[in-house]
Amino acid sequence: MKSPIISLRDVGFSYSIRKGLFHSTTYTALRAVSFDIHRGETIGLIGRNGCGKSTLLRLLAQISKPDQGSITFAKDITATLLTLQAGFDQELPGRDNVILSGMLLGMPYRVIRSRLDRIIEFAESGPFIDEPLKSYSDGMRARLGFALALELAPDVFLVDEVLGVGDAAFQRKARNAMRNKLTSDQTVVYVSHDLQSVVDLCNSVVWIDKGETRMIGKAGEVVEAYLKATCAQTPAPPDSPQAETPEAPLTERVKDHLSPREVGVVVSHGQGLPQTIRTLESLTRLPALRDMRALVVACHGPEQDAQAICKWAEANWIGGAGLLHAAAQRDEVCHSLSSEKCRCLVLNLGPGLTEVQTRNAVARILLQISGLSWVWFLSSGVIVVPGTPFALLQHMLARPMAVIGSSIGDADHPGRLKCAGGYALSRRNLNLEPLCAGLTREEAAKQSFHHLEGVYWGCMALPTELIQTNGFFDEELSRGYAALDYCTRAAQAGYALEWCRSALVMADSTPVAALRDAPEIGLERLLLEDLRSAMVYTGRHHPELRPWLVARRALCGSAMWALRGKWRLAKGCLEVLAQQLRPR
Amino acid sequence: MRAADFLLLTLFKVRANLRSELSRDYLNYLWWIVEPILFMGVYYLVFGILLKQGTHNFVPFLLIGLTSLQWFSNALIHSSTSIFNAQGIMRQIKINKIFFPLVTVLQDTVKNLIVFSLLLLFCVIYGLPVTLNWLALPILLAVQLIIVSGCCIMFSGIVPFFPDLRFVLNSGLFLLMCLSGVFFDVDTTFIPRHSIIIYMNPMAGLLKNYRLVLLHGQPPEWGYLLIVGFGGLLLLGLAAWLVNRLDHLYLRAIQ
Repeated sequence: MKSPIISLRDVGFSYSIRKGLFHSTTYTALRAVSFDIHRGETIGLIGRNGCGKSTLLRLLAQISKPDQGSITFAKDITATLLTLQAGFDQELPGRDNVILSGMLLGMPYRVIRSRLDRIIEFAESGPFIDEPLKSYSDGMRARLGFALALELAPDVFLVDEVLGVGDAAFQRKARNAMRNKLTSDQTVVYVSHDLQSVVDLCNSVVWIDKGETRMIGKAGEVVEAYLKATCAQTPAPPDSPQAETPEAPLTERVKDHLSPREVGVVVSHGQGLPQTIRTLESLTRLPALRDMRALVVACHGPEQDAQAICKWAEANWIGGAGLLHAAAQRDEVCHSLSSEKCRCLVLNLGPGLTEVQTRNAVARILLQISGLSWVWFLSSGVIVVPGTPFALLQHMLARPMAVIGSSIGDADHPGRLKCAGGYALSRRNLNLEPLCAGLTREEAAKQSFHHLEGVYWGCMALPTELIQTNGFFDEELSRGYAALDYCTRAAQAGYALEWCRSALVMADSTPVAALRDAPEIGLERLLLEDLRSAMVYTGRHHPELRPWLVARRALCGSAMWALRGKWRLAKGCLEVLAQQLRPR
Repeated sequence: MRAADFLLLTLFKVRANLRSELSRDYLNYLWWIVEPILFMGVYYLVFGILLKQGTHNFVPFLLIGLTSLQWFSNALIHSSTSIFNAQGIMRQIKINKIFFPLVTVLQDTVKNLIVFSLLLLFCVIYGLPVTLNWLALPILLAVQLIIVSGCCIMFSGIVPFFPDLRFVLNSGLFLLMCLSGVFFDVDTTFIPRHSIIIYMNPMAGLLKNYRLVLLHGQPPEWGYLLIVGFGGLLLLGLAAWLVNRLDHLYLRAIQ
């Protein structure tokens, strides 16, 4: 048998985190990892988040040295960690960045120069290559980094999940190029949570568990054992509703494989197949969605439309797609989502449903899988209309959540959504000072992702001036908010109905206007449900917001009924509003 | 990475950093000339016109000292945190950590050479004698580069383990400025016994030699330069050895 080019024996590594002058804590990332890497083979590293895979890659790249055990390299063997955009400088042109990053990654200057044209061509950056990097979109930057990475040819290539780059078309190209590289004679250590790709690409797999080598063997066998073990060992949390039901392990299995922020939900608008596909294409360009493990697409068209969506997903989204029908129960959804082969789940709810009804149906199904901690509802109108099924959304996950509403146009400006989250956060705490004191857009974006309630609250709470002065939203959305504020002032001044009516006319072509087309019965029920849940929720979690929120809801309700000519209902809402506005 | 590739990478990074720095400001390259002129102008205004301080030729005396010491202190300030701040890239690639302070030192050296050229222009305009001894200036600059590099690499290699050192750096540099004879002539201010102690600080000796050449048109003290140059090389070697020795510990120290 050939001798290994890299050999690891009982490798251990700990981090020391300094917390004060004489105080530090130690975190052991790796305890005893042993395996060999032979020339030309592709080894997969699998394991749960935090088990030490990335640390191990850094040790193999000789970026760090192990605390215990040894890593022996054959003579002149270099291992390089595939790093996208290493050393990129925003102020420099793309061309200089490619050269600099390539040199940092170990390519000689002459080699990069000779391959520069190929890199530029692959990254599709031709016209922009001499422009500063700060003028590039996130996708263009990532493409440039990826194209450069493809040109690297170290003895051992260390790859840590980098396939989700750029738009759908580029992802396909990148995936194929990377697959060619991984399946060539190149020696590769491949880390991924996409177990299907691990099985497809790797000769053998090392399963790392709590910093130790748990199993080494053929890819299929190790992955199967890993899946079995992770299903069996994950205990359900005691306070979770699933703990009381026999299906708990299955739900936990979903939870285990889909970490927070890995599931997206798209509700098609019922505007026909081409529109839905266009929406999906736009959405898959969102950086946040690129990293998602699974995408749930809910549609309510004919069967062939759902099948077409499945086909699109299979062709454009890494991994396979599954189709379920309206009668799908928790087991089926769990099974599909936990399958490594399925990255896109199309829920066909049958024709004839409105958008709100579709959303409710999806919510009901997802409500049962409370292991999912993030659900993104990506469709227009979700965030503003009082018809949003707040009760369902609130209880669906049994924890704080974010509901992000977006029009298709926003897919090209994901920053807007993120910023909205950050703004929302400040507003939710009823403290705008930190925001005004200089939270940058990027900081706001980070904040929004750390505080899950962000956007829902934000879009309900953003004062008009803030929206108008900062211009974070589309003009038409701003008009909607302006109209609502106009309504508030009108109601406060006692002019109520007529003013509300004119305000809503003002808000024409905004999400508010969508209310007029919704079926009355659904609206009435949702409005009441929404009002009730908002009161319960704010009473429990944010008592300081309760009067304000209820007032706003009541106002929307009154405006809506006034517009429909249902004066009695509108008056009822205004009475609720008056109660809230009454000085205490 | 081969030594030649490392050197090429360092030089490319220096060029890239300078370009990047320039592109952030509207006046671009002009700042490299305007800033030192302003800097020198302030001192000329304060000491040469307002205070009418010092001895004969006090203004060039002061500017020569300031230019030289400014190079040292700028490089030291900028490079002190160069390894400390490079956590992001250190986590991604394997690279000799000397790269980070070396890039900063060379970057400041380029900028200082421009300031130094302006200083020479000022000396000519001021009417100081231009002699053949000016040919010794490159040697003086080279010796200073060795000392600056040695100090910067050494300091940047220690800061990640004792980050608090950053806070005493400015005070230390101010003390150095006071003890290097920027504002006064060491030979006439101190008694000879104390002067020897002052000249153990290589920067004080270098300032004196710059002044010998530029102000008085005399040759530098070759013996002193040889000792300082040799000592600087030792320091540089020691610093490089230390940073190499601690290479794998930096990432742990700063995370």
